[in-house]
Amino acid sequence: MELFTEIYNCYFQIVDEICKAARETPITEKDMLALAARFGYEESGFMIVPKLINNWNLLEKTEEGYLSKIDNPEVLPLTTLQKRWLKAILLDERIGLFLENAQLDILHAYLKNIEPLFTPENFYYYDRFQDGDDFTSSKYVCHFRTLLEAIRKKQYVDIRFCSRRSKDVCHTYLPCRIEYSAKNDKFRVLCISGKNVTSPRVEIVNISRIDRITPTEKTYDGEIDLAEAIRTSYYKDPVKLLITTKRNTLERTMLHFANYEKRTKKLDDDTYECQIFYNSMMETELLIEILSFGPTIKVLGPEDFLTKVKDRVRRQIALM
Amino acid sequence: MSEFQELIKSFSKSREYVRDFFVYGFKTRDDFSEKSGRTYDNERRRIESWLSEYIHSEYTKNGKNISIAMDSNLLLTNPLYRVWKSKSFTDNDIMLHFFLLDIMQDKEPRTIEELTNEILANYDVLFEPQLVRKKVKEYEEEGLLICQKSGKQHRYLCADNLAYLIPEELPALLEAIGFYHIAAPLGILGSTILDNQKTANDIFTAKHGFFGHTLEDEMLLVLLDAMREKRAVTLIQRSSKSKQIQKTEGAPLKIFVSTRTGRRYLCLYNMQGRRFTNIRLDSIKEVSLLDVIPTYMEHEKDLENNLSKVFGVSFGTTRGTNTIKMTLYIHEKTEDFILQRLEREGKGGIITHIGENTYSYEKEVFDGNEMMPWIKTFTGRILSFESNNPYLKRKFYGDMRQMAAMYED
Repeated sequence: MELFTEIYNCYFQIVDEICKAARETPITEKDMLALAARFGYEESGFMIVPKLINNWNLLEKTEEGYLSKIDNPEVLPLTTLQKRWLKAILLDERIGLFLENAQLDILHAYLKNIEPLFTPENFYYYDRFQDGDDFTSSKYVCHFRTLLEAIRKKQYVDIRFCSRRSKDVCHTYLPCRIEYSAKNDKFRVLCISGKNVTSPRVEIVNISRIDRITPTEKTYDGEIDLAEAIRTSYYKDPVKLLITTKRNTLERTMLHFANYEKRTKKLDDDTYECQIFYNSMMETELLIEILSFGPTIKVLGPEDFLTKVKDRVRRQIALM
Repeated sequence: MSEFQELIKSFSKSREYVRDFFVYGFKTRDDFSEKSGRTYDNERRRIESWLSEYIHSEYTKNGKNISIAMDSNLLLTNPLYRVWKSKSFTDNDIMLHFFLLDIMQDKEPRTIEELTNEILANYDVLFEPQLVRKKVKEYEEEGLLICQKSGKQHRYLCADNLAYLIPEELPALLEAIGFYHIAAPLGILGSTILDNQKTANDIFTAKHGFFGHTLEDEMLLVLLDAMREKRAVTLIQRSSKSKQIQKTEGAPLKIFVSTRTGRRYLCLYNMQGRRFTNIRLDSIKEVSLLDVIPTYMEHEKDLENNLSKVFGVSFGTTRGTNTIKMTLYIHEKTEDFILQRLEREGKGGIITHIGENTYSYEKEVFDGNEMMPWIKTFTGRILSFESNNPYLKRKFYGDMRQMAAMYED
């Protein structure tokens, strides 16, 4: 059982889509190219379409276009490897957020002769925060599912929660996404504040801090591009870092900051410049991550960020 | 010159290029000197095709550099999974895939001869029965087809799909897969299930997600099998610094994952040296399974007993442990969040209130050097730093002085 096999190949997906589209009505080469562009890589259409027409005997030419010779209305069964992965995720404690016990029993019965691909004990998250969420608390599960339902229905909810400053807050939100942080071991809901749908501002609420959620009657029928809303919250000027090769810093920083959007260029054999894109919500975390590298990284800007770094260093020297 | 192909036979070569473009992103054509310029051009074009919307290119004084730029916080899937969906195949592979699964939708068992004849009758293509048998056996091993044996005769039928087997549970399961495919190990398999079910995640995102991990999944898969079977392994590693190839043998016990530094390690018990060692997964190029280890569970238990003194991944030297003590200024009324940080990130270190707005944090670890980056995240409030390892003390104060000089106006 291999991971790198043609069964999972996106060309097979494209051909499947083309055959399904051409099952009852003929399709043109242009239609095929459009499907290849949707499900494949940039140049897939140019590779697949000539083969489909000339070599693979999966289509039949008619006067109006091409009809599929494949009836194949159903989806494929799962491979054993896919089933082993499914069995592994059923062993994770977070699965109870999605499935009831009765549903889990049915899934375990379906996968009863399958070895899990891994178990939670195979992995040790050595620097994960120790105050992660209690995913098994009935209140937490209930809030999680209410949020999932509201996201599916694009339904506004009233959320009462305890803010970071330990204040009780209650707002009406349109929940849009659920974010999981592996570092914090926490789920957070990304919402649009009830008043701000036209120029959306993203607000983030830790699910564990929620005291009560009440779905409202109100729904939103438009589309919200949450990624774009977050992207527009990024500062115009990214953090600019000067990175040396001392203490293997170049490699360490490149891996460390791989979860941020970044651009790096080489200045000379020992020095690199890296720009990291961020917003106010990420600022403190990014700042302390940079400080953790000590003098092997130098912050060049932007001015406001640099001032914060200088303040901390100055305060430190005053304390020593 | 051979024609350009988007698909590849082997994952390993492309993996290195994708990794370089994704993790580093500053290398130019000349920096890839280990292979020919033409190899670089082909790999670059392929990666540009696989990940077109994430490619960023820039002209620098050293030449054009290509990087894969993505903000993992915003994405509903890991775009690097696309690399796994690029395995090359032959014309026969794709034809047999669609012909066989099309014929077998009626769930009637068939012999190889019957399948060969039906392919000819339905699609007008003549295959050698041997070729059909090979593909059918391959799909049986993958779990897509089931073999029914009656005497000497083998008949094959298609396995049932998810929608048929668990129609009620499927929607909730797919939602769970939407989450796990970006949050669980080997999430690529979740992505292929979503492909199979013609659906996609539109709810979950991963903060602090290191998408590059998927490039190590081929090795991880074999290592997990070895761990399940309690077998020893031989590893071929390539150092990222020296580029030297090294062969190591031992008992694979656990995968150590950092949620901050973007690294994953294999924790291996070296039976000859009688010590634990952590090896970066991205440095492992080959894994071979060896014999079952009768003492495997003892090594697992020993590892558990040692974990409280491992701050990161280092088991230190044989020269004993390091004690680390830092004293911090924490304003009691307004800076409770700093105390919370010490508790949740300090891995059980002892926190003591020693005076007004003053706390100490103490911990004994195998390798104090591993704690230094974390200690430095408290820059601006460290009143003193002490250790039984004089090198660490010198390093801390030296680093702070260097930083002061670096940021002097």
